[in-house]
This record gives sequence, structure tokens and C-alpha cells, in this order.
Amino acid sequence: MISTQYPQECEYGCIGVGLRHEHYTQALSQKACSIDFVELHAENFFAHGGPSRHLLEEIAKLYPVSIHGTSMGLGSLVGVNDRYLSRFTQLVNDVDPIYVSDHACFTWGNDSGKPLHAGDLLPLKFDTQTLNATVTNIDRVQQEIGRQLLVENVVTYFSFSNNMFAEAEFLAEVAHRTQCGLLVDLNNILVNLHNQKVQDTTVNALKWLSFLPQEQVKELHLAGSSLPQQGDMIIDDHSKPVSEQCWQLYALAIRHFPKAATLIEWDNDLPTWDVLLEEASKAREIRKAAWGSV
Amino acid sequence: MKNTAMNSTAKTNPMVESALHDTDYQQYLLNEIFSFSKSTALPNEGLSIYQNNLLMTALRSLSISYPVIESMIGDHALYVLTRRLLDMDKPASGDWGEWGSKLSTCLFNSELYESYPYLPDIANVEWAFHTASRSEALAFDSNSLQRLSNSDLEDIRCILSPSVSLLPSAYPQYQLWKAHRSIESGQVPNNSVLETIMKNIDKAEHCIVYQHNGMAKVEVLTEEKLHWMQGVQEGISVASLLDIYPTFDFALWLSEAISKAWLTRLD
Repeated sequence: MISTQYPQECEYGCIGVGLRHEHYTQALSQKACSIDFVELHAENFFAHGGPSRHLLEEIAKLYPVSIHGTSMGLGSLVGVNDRYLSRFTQLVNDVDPIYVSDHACFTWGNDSGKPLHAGDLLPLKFDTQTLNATVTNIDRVQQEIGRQLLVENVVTYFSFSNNMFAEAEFLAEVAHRTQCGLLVDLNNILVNLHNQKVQDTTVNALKWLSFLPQEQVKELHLAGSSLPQQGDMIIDDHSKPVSEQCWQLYALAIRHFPKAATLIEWDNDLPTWDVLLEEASKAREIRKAAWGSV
Repeated sequence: MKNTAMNSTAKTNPMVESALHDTDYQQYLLNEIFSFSKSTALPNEGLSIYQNNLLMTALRSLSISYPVIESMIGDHALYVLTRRLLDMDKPASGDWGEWGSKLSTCLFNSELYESYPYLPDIANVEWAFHTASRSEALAFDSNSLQRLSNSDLEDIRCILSPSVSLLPSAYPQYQLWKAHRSIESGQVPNNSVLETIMKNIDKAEHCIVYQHNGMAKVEVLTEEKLHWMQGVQEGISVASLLDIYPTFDFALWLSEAISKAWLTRLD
């Protein structure tokens, strides 16, 4: 049992950053006081031994840890792979993280009778069949890990015209039926709206957020993406600072979800550790300005 | 909220309707992505993003597991092999760290093999190193040493740690691996170092890969030790191994095997 520490009470939501390989040395050399927790990608710590296990222990000694899965595929019609779930559960039991999360997408299928993993977060059709499968999968995962799971919205590069629900409506229903929490990625909302050529993205993003049950939104993700060529889709590559539009949406969203934690995601073309921490400090400043409290 | 902007702007072409009304729309989409070809039923801009994401993630995964092969063959060749490997051995576990074990076979079947026949062996060393670095550390059961005084050697078998890989080769695989492993990413070894190795390219070099004190290690094994340990791996008893290799110094080897965590116990 590694057992992460829990952060001191964050009255208006904790602030954290995604901790990636390139920053391990700096993050471990001295505890960063400007963040309340770090998020780790679950699959990077699935190995039973070796350096990654030791690293996990060192990180958990210094920071409260959130475990973020990227492969579970909670909307998979074939269910969540047994072996994957067993390894995920083992990690959660070992770390006792402050949050556990994964995505509202599908990842699992079959290849000639063997499991096939997509290696990506693939789009769901928002219909009754997928809703029921997602609810069943989340129920099973929450039973296995013995705690609430946070479910995150994803970027999609096409959507289905025969959806029965809108995405936010689908997520709200999933949260209602499973009592899972929601992890709302504000950048993903904006990227989807851009890619679908929707005008007034901030207004439509707020409309999107208004359908979610306030008390079940436990975390917000902020990120930035590379700018596309004219007319092209934005690829959600988490390779840039949080965009101005995303900060603006954040300033509005934290009024709606005041107790949600905030996480800065930066996965590619990583900046220095200090620049990443500055992004976290900026989130804290915006929250402070919105609520007049640190 | 059914008619939000998101729904009203959703783009699908007419053929998407029939394909994606299928209850198995997820399997359909997976098949289309892994086909790496254009679709008649899905919007190709979106599909190509998913196909490219898959390829790039797989490529990044191989770069992490096979830094020496990447350094030896270059980015472009690794990209081509990644695409072939995705056809041959699709990801199945949700952990990219477990994908890529068949790169050696892929190299053996590639056009690179004729000119660089040692590449599959280097890939085997790298995969063994990668898996050893992720293996669970199992301490040696020292109580099991009592079997040496309590039991007949015919009934005693040495059990290798799961992190151990024995890798015979007809090439100087260790020297090639080490020359590329010890340089910065993106660099190539000094010409004189490579020339020295290539002068003796037909010199066989066998390796053992294992985990010790939490770190993966690679060492050269003599032919005698290789054969002995292959016998151990096959489950041959100590007495039978000594019959086959009567001059082998079992006591010395046992001491080394325990100190380097090659063994978990004597059975």
C-alpha cells in the first residue's frame, strides 16, 4: 500500500497539474507549494515492479495523487476488459488516490475473438443501447474500486447524426443513474464546438455546462491545443498553454461548479516545470478573483 | 437539449446512416480505423485523424521500448514497421507498454533483414530489457537452499526469475546494443566504435537480461552458461544437468545466480 496523502481542505476546489515523465526529477526534488495535487496516468504505473513502482511511491510521499485512466473505455459495448480492470483496481488500492477518473468513450472491441484495444478515446453514439452499456460499465468499475469514479467528456472528430441524446444530457443521465462524478474538460467542449463549426462557442459551451448536475461535477480539466490550418479540425494534442478562450470559460464555469478541483493538462511539447506551475497559479488567481478567496 | 448546436451540426454522409445504425457500430468503427484506408461510410477527415493518432501513439510506444532499434534504423523505417506491426499484432491490453513484442519478427520479415541480419536479435534484447524493467522483484527463497542438503540432486530444479531472458545470437548483439544505448537520443555512435564491432560481426555473443535491485540489466553469457541456463529453464534437474555438463562449476554459478537475482528458489 503506497497511500497518497490527502490535501488540506480546499474550500473552493483544489488545483493540480498532470505530472508527466519529463517533470519527475524537478517535481520530486522539492515539493511544489503552488499545487494541491498531481494527476498520474494510470497505465504508466501498471508495471508490477521496476523504476516506475519506486517512482510512484516517491510521488505519493510528496503529493496527493489523482489516478486518471486513459484506456478504460467506459462506453464500450463489449464491456471493460477484465484484466485491464483488475490492474487498474490494484493500482487504485495501492495508491488510495484523492480522485479516480476515466473517459466517456469506447476503446474495446474484438479481433478474431481476442480483445482489441483502440489506443484512443473513440466517440460514443448517444443512444439507449450505449447509455445502458455505459451505466453497466461504470457500476461495475465503481463496485470493483469501491469508490466514486469521475467520468470525463472527450473530443470527437465526428459525431453521429442519429444520436438520441446530446452529449451533456447523456453524461447527466449517466451521473444520475450511477452516482458517478463528472470530470468536465472545458477545452474538449470548446474543441468539439470549433470542429463542428458552431458559432458563439463560449455561449454554447455554457449552455452545455448548464445541463450537468452541479453537485456531481468534481473536477475541471484545462488544456491547450495546437492551432489548426484554416478550416481544419483542432486536434486535442494538449501541447500548448491553456487558451484564452478556455480561461474565459473557466472563469465562468467555476461560478457554476465552485467546489470542483482544477487540473492543468499538458502532455506534449511540455514546457518547463515552472511554466506548468505558473498555469496552475493562474487558475488559482482566476478562482480567487471569482470568489475572493484562495 | 436534444437539438443543441452540437447535434444540429453533426456531420455524417448518407452511407454513415446504415453503417452506424448497426448495433455493433463500435466494432465497425474500430475495423475502419485499423484498416488504415479511406472509408466509404465515415467522414474521412475524422477517420484519418483517428488513424493518424493510432499510428503516432504506436510509434511513440515503440520509440520508448526500442530506443536502440530506433537509433539504428531511423524514424522513417520505424514508422513503416509500426504500421506493419499494427497489422500483425494489434494492441490488446490497454497498456501500450505491453505492445510491441513482435517487432523482432517484423524485422526478420522486412527488407532490412538481408543487409542487417542482426536487427531481430537486437530487438529481442531491447524487448527483454523493457519487460525486465517492468517485472515484479521476487526475492530468492533462501530456505529453499536446504534442499541441497536434504534432497537428491536428481530431485532439485533451479527456478529462474520471471524477469530473466536468455538470448543466444550469432552476432555481437551486446556490443551493438551497448554502443547505441549509451548515447544520447537521436545521436549515432562514433564511427570507429561501429567499425570495430562490424569487423567482428560474425562473432557470436549470447546475453542474459534480468532485473536486479529494481533495474534491468544486460550481460554477456558464455556458451557454457547459456546452455546450462537453457537447461535450467527447461526444468532439467541439477543432477541431469551435471551429467550433461560434467565440468560446469555449479557451486560458483549458484552463488552468482543468487547474488544477481536470476533465481527465485530451488524446487
